[in-house]
Amino acid sequence: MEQTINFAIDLGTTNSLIAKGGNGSVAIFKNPAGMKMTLPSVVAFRKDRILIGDKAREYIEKDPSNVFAFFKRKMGTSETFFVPNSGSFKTPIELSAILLQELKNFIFTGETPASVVITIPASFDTIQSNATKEAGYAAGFKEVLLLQEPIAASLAFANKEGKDGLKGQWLVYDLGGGTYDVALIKIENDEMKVVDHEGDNYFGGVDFDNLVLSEIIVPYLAEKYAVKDLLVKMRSSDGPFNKLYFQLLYKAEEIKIALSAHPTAEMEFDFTDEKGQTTEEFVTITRAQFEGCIRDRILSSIAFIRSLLERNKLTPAAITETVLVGGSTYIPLVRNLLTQELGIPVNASIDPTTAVVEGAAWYAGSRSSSLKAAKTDNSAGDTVSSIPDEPAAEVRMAYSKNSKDNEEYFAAAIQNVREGGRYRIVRSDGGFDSGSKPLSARINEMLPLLPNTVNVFHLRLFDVKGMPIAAILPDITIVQGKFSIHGQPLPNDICLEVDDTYSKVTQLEVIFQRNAILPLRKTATKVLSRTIAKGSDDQLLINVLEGSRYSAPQTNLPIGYISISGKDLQTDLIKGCDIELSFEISESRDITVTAYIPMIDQEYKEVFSPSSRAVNLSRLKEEVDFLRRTANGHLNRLLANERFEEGAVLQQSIQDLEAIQKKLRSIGPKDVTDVKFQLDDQKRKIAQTIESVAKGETQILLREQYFEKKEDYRELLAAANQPELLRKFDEMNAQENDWINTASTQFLRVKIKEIDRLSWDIQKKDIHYVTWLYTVYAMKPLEAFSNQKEIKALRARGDEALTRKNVDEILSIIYRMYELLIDKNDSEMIKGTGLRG
Amino acid sequence: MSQQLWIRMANLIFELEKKLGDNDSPGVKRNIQRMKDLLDEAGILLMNPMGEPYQETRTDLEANIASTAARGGLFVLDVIKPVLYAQQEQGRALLQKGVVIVGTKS
Repeated sequence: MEQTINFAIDLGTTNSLIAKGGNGSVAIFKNPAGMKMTLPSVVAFRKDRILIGDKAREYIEKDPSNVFAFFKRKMGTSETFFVPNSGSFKTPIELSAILLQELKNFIFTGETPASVVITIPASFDTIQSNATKEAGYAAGFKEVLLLQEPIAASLAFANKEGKDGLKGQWLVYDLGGGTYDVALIKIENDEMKVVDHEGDNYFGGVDFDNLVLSEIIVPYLAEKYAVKDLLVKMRSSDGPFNKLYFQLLYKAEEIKIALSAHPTAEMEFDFTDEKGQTTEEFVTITRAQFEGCIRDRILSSIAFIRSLLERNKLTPAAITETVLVGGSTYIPLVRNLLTQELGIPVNASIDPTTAVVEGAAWYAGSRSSSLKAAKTDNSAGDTVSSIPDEPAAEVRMAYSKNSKDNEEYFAAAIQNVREGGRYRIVRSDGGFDSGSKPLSARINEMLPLLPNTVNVFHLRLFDVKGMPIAAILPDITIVQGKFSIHGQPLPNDICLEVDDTYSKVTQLEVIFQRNAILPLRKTATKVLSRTIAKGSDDQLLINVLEGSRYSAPQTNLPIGYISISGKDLQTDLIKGCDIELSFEISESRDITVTAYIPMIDQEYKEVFSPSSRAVNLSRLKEEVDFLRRTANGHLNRLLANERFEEGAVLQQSIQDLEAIQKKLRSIGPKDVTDVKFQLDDQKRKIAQTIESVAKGETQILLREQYFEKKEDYRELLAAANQPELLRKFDEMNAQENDWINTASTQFLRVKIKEIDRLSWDIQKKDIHYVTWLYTVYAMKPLEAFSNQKEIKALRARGDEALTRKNVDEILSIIYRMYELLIDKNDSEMIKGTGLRG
Repeated sequence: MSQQLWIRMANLIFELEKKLGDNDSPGVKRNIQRMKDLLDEAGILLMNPMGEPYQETRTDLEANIASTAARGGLFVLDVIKPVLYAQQEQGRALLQKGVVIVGTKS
């Protein structure tokens, strides 16, 4: 099968791009260092390396004799550039070849294409076109096809709008970063042709940035601060305003971009006048002001079009449309003036910065390569030598795989190195690039590391022509920070005890997961679940426990707690207020808990070490009480099912709990003995016993109950047509597998209550359900309620409300009836911690 | 929230922190820290390269080199935009280069 060329490069005067077409789509490659699609067409020669693109551009003002830009316009001339840092001369072809090779590096799929389409301006003659081809060959391509830029752009538009896209004759208006070109195109004999063209090599977007400075900002500053010749001072390299020049130029570009989308934009900066006083400046620039300074330049670009049309004896009416190319055509005034002055409609349907490379990629995807052998894809990592019979280079690397510093030393020894070879090391996230450096038998580099993460670097080798050298080059992986000699994984979950206000029990929320590597940090904001009155005995409890998050809190090991008692408060802590918590575990497993309550602007901090424990006495009492009641409940159920053996075990547990309660009564709050620790240990063991006895049978029952309720809820959901609730339900389901087999009975009960609540949310809006519920309550005997007089009144109101069929009204009556109900069946509950779960 | 919105938010948080400067306002500092924690949760890593040494190998920075800079020993003197990385399971990727002014420390 014949291969299509597929790859295309827009080798621009200010910026270059590379893309791949074929299979009906086009993809533009991004620079792996910095993730941008455009590569500034700038090359800088430093003492020890070559920089290309954004990095090279940084040196334009500082070291201009070693930095080269805009060399595209010198293609085909005999002009050469002297490089002081290397003492040699470079031709425009060599500089373009460096750009082309850099663009090849953007191809992350590992392909090394032998054929490519490169775009050239319509104004290029034969010599200039051949020079471009030469650059392509020097960059290692075997086959180079040229395509004129306005045609490439037109192809992009045509492919967007379909075959009938472009008709008759049209204009391509290309206003880029530094150059301006306009071309007249038509279709002749089924082929697109450039009929005529005009241009200005020194007009582009960067001029607009400078106009914003010179016409708006600088005059304003010069007047306000009485500085003479401010612009000259800003541009001069040894003046105090030089730094300001860069800042403002950068901001001017941002303003220019912002004004395309908004009618005004603001520039903020500090201005230090000649006396050394610094003021904060806020300058608002309106679109009208901006348009005022650039209008004349745009009008003169349109004058070019008029003379172009006149030359070809055409009137604007004969032109179907003007197609826009180049970033500066985003500016609304450009589009407006073009339409206004010429009366020709403007087409901006394709991204003007990528139109040329896109169109070229379409073209490349439809042209077959004339090369004999089809190139096979190479996977990243191993590379193919440009000279097949060359022995592969052998590389041995030495570096530390773990580091605590923010850079690490890297060394490599290379065998079979060819003369003139080069190497390059890049970090995979795009934050470091050594640049292209000369290759010798030894490589030494300091590699900068990102903190607390795995840093991956790639080393690549190139021969004197810039083609990749065959070698086994594994990734360089260095882990910064996390791992240390003490580094151990956490053996158990570390959890926070929180309230489940619906079931009136507590459950665990995980802070740090089992197997996480120390040290660790986490912050969370919780909400207070009940008001803590000032002066009361109530406490807000921040209780940190170690053990599985699915267990009951009482069975887990208490690590430490912060207790904020009502007695310590100056004002009430209102339900609903925020509590900011932060948790930190050091490598030696010390846990620091910090709680900050914005409402009272108080911070509490405690450090718990693994060698000391604290037991909160009042909490211990509450837990023992809760366990006894729960055990009693279980016992009754077991006896009812004639499970006498297990019943006996529980009876023993209940007796043990009562013994603990007796001992607890005789311990004062300031007790210094170990008794409370012993009692806590005993409590935990009993809790675990209760859990395991109850678990077997109850778990099965509870799981059944859970699944039943889930099905009912699913049916409700299907009938109710609530996509948001359905989504939440699916989310819940997805997590089910994690806990369904190992969860404690307490956890299962919590989940069941959750489904009950969700079902209630749907049912309470349904008039039939609410009516039925009302009748249930209304039919209860009067003695079941605590205020019989009120119940009679409620029933009367309720019967009336039924006739009105108002759901909310009936509900409010049901709620009130519920409050008056004496036996609410609430025996299995425990006091909450105060933190809403 | 789309990543573009988070990037803009990250830049705003950075500017806010910069304006706060050395002002001792623990309440405000705390809120700013919470905002940065939220960025963390959204998968955005914000780094302030102020004062860090600068080499041209740092492709995470877009540097404007003040002409007063002498040979060798360049440092970041002012940060106009912070460095942003996107955190993903596969690793980090550069989202926004830090825009900085570099020169020699006076």
